[in-house]
Amino acid sequence: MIAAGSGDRCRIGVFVCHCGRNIAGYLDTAAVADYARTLPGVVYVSENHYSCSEPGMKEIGRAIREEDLTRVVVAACTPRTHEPLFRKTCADADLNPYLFEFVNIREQCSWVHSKDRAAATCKAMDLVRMGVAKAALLEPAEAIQVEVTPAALIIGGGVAGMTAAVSLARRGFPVCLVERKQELGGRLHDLNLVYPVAEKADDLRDRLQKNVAKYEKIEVLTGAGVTAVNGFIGHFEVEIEQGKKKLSRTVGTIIVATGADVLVPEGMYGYDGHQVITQLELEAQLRAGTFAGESVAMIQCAGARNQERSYCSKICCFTALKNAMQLKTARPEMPLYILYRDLQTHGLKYEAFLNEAREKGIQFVRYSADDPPQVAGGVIRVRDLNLNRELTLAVDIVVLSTPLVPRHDTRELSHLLRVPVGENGFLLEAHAQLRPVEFATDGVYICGAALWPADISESIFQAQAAAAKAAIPMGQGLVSVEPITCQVRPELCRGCGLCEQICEFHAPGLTILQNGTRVAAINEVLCKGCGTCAAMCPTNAIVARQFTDRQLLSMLTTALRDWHAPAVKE
Amino acid sequence: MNASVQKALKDSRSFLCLECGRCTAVCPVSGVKQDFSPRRVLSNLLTLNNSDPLNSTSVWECLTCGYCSLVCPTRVDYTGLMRAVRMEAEKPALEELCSHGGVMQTIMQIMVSGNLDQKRMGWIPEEAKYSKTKGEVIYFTGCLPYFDAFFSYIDVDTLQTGRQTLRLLNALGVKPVVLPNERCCGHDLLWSGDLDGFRRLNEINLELFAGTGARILVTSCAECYHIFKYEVPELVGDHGLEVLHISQFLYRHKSSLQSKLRPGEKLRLTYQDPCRLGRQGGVYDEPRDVLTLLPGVELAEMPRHGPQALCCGTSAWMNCTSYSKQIQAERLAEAAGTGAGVLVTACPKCYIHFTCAQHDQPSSSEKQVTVRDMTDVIASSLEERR
Amino acid sequence: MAPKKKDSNGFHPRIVVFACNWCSYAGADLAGVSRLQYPADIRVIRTMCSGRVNPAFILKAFKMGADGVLWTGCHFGDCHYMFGNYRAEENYQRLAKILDLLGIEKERYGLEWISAAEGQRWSRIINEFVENVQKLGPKKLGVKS
Repeated sequence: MIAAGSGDRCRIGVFVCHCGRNIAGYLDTAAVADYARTLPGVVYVSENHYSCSEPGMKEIGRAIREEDLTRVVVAACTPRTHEPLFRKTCADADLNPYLFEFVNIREQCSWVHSKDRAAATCKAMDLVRMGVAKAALLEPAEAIQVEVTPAALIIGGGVAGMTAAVSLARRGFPVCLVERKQELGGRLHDLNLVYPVAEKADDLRDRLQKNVAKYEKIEVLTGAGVTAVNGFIGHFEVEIEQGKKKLSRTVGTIIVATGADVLVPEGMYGYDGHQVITQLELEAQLRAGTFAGESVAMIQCAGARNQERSYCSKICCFTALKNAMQLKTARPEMPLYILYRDLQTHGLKYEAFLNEAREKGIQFVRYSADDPPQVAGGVIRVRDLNLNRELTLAVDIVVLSTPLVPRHDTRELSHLLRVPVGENGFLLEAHAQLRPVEFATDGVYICGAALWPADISESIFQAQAAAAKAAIPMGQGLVSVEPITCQVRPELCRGCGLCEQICEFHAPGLTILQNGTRVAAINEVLCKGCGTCAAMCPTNAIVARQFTDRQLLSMLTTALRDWHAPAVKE
Repeated sequence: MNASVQKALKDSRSFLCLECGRCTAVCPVSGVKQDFSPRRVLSNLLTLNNSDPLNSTSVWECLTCGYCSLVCPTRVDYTGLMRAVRMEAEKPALEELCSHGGVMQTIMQIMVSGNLDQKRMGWIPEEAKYSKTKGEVIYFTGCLPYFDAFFSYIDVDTLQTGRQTLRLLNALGVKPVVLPNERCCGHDLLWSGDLDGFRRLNEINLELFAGTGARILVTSCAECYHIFKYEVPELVGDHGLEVLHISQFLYRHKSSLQSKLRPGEKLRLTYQDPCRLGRQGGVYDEPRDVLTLLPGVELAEMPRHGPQALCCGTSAWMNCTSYSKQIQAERLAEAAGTGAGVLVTACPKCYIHFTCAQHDQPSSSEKQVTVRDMTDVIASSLEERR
Repeated sequence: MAPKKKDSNGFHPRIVVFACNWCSYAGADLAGVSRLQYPADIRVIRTMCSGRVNPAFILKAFKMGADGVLWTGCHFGDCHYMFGNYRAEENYQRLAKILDLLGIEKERYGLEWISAAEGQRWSRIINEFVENVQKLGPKKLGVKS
């Protein structure tokens, strides 16, 4: 590794990515590259068609070796997705990966100023200059190694939780499976049939329960809830309450499989739980064999895809089809209507199923969100968009297809685990494509409907994916924590204790020296690197590594001193 | 060696240093930091022992309290040397040492702007009598509104000093000019080596002063006092004003003041001589004389007082460290040792620094005294307004 | 094309935006993915948390000639570090008092919460902020005019 501190010789390489046309189509990458050549410390500049492609990364590696680079700046997309990749590219070429700086000229430049080439080019130049300024001050860092306790906590004992538990236990990892209810199974307790294979939900549940019971490594705690989580990947201290019992467990990873609630459509379409019921209530009646309706209409998107809940719950179209088909198969003469806005029957099986439903004589009526069906006294009045006609349907049971909504206790869980909540109130994964079953917090994973409305099969494969992800650090036994942490310069610390007071992760602590003065020190494994203590410290004694005052101020200074703006058209 | 440093060494009589070490013996920093010695810093500068003294932190560690010069047998002006050397020293080393990320210095640097339109008068009570333009006496409020905004989190109320100073002046029949756009006096820029910034601030101030037709400038801050009395005439230009610290102004009108005081309960005070007012301004007696005018007040002196007073531990918003904290703790304990309930200061910096030290999870001795500005103590003895 | 410094015919404000890695910076990325356009008059400085931003950074930005500075982070309850944004809010309140004392117009600075899912919100806030600063014109503090 090249131990190039800020005082060492600084040979910066700048790589300007075209990202095909994504960047080069909207700004002058050649001008940006030429400009980069003029910047202090820059000894090598190249343009790449795709920096993240094999040839792009090879070129970076080659330049590090042959041009003797001690800093690498890539001007491309966003560090949020590609920083790990380029850090690795640097490490592979024996350059300390923390001597790499990312400049975002795609998401935050070319794509958002795509109608103003001159302005985008000016901004890209400034961003590159800022990145170079920061790069010059970067310090090498070594990842902090943490041992991983090979055990997992799974919160939620529904289909996802049970699947994940079995999946991990089969790999030999002890699992603590915590379920709030008295029995494992979750939503399977309420469902009738599970499609596309037409299995009884009870059978699936029994099968999964038996599977769980097969593994001694799975400790099942029902009627239990997680009350506190402390620590970090590899070493989470978990407090669990089971009735009056208080338990604590140490685990290396956590999988969240808490599922979702189903919207209860209070005040919608005359919902009363008798004549107007939900799909979930219908399934309960079908399970119990108590359903006695003679004619049925189902209303889709009840409480979904509106101002309050903008998302599509995805599972409801298929749930309606499934239940309608069941009714129709049992009594082919039964009048059955499905009132919908748009039908989402994704995949091969579900679309075929829709065609089958049509053949069986289920009537599909398309309504408009602006003119929803009116339900009163067993009569539905609805304007059919396809026929462009007002229909009056007399049915004795109206079934509302209501969406899955975030569990009522999502906020509490989010605070407990320090994981974020998205726009629609569901828990938010680290990245929809790149890290779909993980949280941004290391060592915490997610699967099933806690993330987004998911059906049974999706929950199962997400659970298996989450288990596979969680197995990686547990299998390796060691993880590297990013050395983006804070450090105290003891010579500047006056021991005021503010850092200790404000840190939620209990990373800083004061020690009393022999002469009676206090001085803070930060436990870097506990430190999450937010840098808040560095900003709060009255005496600037805390350095937030990779985001130091000097680095940030050098970016600020160079941005403002040499700001480029395009000539203004008259 | 750079010519300015040569000149500074000469002007400060540094060549006469006998290496006797008396400076180190009295230096508050040396008292808590074993490896700090003014003598050694000076000798490094003289001999270039240290490879680059201008790039080392040692020139910023001095509190510029001036105690060393007082005891120096050859009268080396060490404080003056520091002032000059800092102008030549490397500033990046300083940036890292500025407390609060350099907020205070930056406020001052923003104030050099000619186009500034401050909104700094909001604290003035409705009943206060003052003019924004013309008058015999200017009350220079300094950074009080800024300190108040920034240090609210350690329960510092510097605006009380402003309000009480106005009350005192009004009680003496003075309707002072309070300038809505006055700039910082630049004390901390000067002492952090930014002569340009210091000059610019006071060029603006002098212009503003000239427009008022005033004869006297009153400050409630020891540093503002020293700057306008000594450094501005030396480095910027003549303002033609008589500069008085509020304690001097009150002393001058002490019979009038006395007539306005109401009987008070017994109160034992001790007084902190601010370095710029005491050792460097020679103002020791007036604050004490005014404080003892107050009915019921008994003044208890700390062992180190007057010319021997211990500095409040931090200077020019920089290099605030565990050493500062030790000095502050030592001083607070000394104050508590007098049996006084109140430590009175005549400088908002002392007030802030001591209050801050008390705020840092203090030990019991540090919290025994209440730190108050002298204007607040005195004005609290004024008769209620009728 | 050789970029030119801003000419006298119009006004391109210099606006610095501090964005936190987990929410507002991600929101800005989403604005990009969604191709939501906004003026190129901002330069973003990324920190891990909005709590990392020292009020001094914003004062220094104004001192060095910024026409506006925006401080952004996660909504309350969404902070990746739990309460870093609360600290940012406290620091911002103190800063805002100082900026007000200095007579810097309120439209030139702000604290905004933008989630990773709010690309639209990022774009709208930037558009509005830039427009407001443009209306006020250049600030040019810290220079001896």
